[in-house]
Amino acid sequence: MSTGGSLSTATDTAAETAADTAAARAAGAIATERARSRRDARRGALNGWVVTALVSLALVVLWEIAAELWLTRLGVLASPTAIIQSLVADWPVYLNAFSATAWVAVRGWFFGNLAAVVVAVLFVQLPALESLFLRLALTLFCLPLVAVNPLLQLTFDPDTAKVVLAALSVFFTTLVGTMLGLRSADGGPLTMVTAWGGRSLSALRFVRFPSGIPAILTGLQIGAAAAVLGAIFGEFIGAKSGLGVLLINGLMSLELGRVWSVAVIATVMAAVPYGIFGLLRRWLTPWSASISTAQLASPARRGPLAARLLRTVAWTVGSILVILAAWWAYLIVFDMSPFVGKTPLDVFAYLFTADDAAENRAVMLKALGETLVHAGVGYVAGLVIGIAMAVAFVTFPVVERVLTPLAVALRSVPIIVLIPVLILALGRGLGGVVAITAIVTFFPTLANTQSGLRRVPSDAFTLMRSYDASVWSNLWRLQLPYTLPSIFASARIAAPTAVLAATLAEWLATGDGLGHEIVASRAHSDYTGLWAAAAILTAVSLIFYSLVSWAERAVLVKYSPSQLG
Amino acid sequence: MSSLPSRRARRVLAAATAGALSLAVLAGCASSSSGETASSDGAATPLTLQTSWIPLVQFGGSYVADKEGYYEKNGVDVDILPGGPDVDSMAAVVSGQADIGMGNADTVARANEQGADLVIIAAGFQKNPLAILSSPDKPIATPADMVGMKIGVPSGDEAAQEALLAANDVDASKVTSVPVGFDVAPLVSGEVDGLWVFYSEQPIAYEEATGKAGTVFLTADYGLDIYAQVYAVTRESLEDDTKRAAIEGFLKGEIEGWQAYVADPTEAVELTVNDYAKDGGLTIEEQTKQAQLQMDLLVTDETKENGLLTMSADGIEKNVATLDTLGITGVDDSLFDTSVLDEVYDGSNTIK
Repeated sequence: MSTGGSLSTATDTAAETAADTAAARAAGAIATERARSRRDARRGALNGWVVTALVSLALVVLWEIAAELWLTRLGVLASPTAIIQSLVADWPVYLNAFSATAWVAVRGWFFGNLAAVVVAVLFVQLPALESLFLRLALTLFCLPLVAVNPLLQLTFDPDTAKVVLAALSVFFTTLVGTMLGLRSADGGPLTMVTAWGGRSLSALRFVRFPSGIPAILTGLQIGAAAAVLGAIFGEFIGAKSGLGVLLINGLMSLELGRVWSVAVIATVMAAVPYGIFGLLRRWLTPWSASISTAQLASPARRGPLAARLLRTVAWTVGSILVILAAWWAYLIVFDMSPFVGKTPLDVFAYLFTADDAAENRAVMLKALGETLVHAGVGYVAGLVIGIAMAVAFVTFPVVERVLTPLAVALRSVPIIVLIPVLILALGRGLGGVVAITAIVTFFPTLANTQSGLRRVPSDAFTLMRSYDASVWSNLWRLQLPYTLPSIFASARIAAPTAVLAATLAEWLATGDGLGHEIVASRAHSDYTGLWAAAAILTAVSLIFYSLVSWAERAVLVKYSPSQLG
Repeated sequence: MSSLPSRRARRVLAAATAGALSLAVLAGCASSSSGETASSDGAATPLTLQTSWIPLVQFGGSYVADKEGYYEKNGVDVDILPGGPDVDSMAAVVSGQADIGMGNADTVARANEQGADLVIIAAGFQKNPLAILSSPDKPIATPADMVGMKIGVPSGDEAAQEALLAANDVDASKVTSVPVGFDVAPLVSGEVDGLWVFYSEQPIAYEEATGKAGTVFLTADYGLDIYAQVYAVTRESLEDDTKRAAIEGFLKGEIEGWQAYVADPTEAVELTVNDYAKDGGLTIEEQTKQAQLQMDLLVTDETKENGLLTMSADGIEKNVATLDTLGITGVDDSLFDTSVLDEVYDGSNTIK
């Protein structure tokens, strides 16, 4: 029973009786009603758990039967019992692989987060740095793993290369989350620090850090899964042991029990730290609501249109120069052999001035088109289904209770493990790749939309009720507009992820698109081609991300201006 | 066609193949401490060997050489680096990460086409291990049988497929290519009728998954005749006396390791499963099968006469011709340098 219900009961009672007794009775009625609703809630929660457990059990049984009947024979799916048998029988193998991968992941996670927090502080303290370098950080996030992995191997020793890859996977989300957290400090306390003569360092120490802690913890939480992904993928550049090695061996020898056991372990590795940091955040900073990792859309700039445009163009050009300079600096600082390390000029020549430039461009354009289809179709499908599911969850709480644990578990599966498994399950055609990009978009969208919908203030519902609004009207006029910032936040982060997933799937399954082009160029020792494909992919991810940001700003200005900083 | 080889090699390695390829690594493991060095004065010279795949018995001879002290005895302290699907051994050599890189002849030729200056100093696999695997119920025993079939081609091997079909006068328009990754699942599930595989690797997985032996033919027997698992170094390093001496020491130890492997692969299998690939989840049984199949690639009439890892004038000529067919430009027999082998064998066909 809702609070609204108790109040109206109390009001009716009050109307019938004399003033003083009415107050006492109303209080009594409210107390009784509250106790009842608490009992109901408890019973509801208990029922929810029972239903969840039963449905999960049913799914596992179904899985077992499907695997036994035909999926294992087709080389698709290991049954739960086969997975458990494999885990039990070979536990020392899994333990060692786990330790090897976890050690890389933990170090990458630590250094990546440390760097992200330091950079975030610098950006917040010195906004000019942010304007110039945030896009560079975003570029790091958009780099295609398929190209970065071999280049890191040729830059660092194998262990360092793996740690760097894991750190890179963590960096951007923590950076953005921390900046958001540091900026979320209230204007009041900040003004106070200034009024008392405090400098910006004091503001940082006394106001920004404390208010940034929840966001930083969220970054650590999300980063855990990213670090596991980076560590496993790092093993593809050569490792003696680790989950990635087991995965490759398992795929080669079609030992489904092994492949799926690795998937289970990797998922647990990502999900457990996720849960622990979530609890830690709630425990250390109980005042914080859950926070999305995404940055707020930047405020609309004021001033004449021409000046705004000019400013945007100037910062964009500045950022591009910084990115190109960073590219060059990487080659020089790490003394990359010119055989593998190609400069922006080499890539420019490859695409525009070399004798076979036209041919190169044609190849790249064709591959780009394929990648855009893979990433774009899956991305849109993932967004739409994710939002629809979240709405269904909130509208029908039973569905939510049953499916949320499943969604959380699936969300934690590192994509490098997910992709081979999905390819086994879905085949190698366009459908398989689109399903992969859709799935990587779907889970974050679902989770963010769900938490956004839950944060709609109850006052607003009361208001809608007073107008006798229908469920749809509630959804359309209240819930969705309130949730737009969350939806856009995940849509923005999901854009580069969809491109990344598409390239991995192209490499491992379909043999077309830019992902394939990168692998093929490396196979040809055509490193200029590799850098060119990587640069195009990165640019596409950046544009994709910027378009979503732009749409976000346009929509939010109209529907929820208060969300713009 | 484009670089078949290189791609192939890599892909093969990488993807396609099975994994057989190479192995790898162990980085730390390999380094034996510097001990008494027979060959020269003083401490052992450190050398890095970049293998092309995760640790498997595919590199068994190198493990034996390392473990039995054959490298050490010849004055080198070898660090065996593991490879993987994303490793480019040739780039590792060119950029100085490794001294010696393992790969297929086409990989090396392709790197040179792009400006590297590498030479092949020895050939581990006399035959290209790329093979076509098919179901015994719908066998593909020769390239001619590929007509009307769906063939799974890992990305990178497309050119190899074209070359194979062209070399055998098969109409390419009558063969359907399906892109695949590195497992036999598409063949097991019937998604494809034939699959490009690594001879000593996926056929084993196929038999285990289906309970029946697949039909296999080696593309090397149908015109794709190139050396595989070759040892490549920069030409420059052969011109430096110290480095050349170290490379000779390495090759001597390496050949001894492979001689021991060919005599009895048991030790190599055990070293792979229990030591170098200890946490790779391999089994003695499956690695023994792989070790046996691999003998077909390592040992030929020529190696019986000239010694393991050798490259005959005839073989080199065939390689150059095949690399040319694969569309790699600028290949001639200078890609192969037999002088190190000549010095190491010194007129014999066995080491010591």
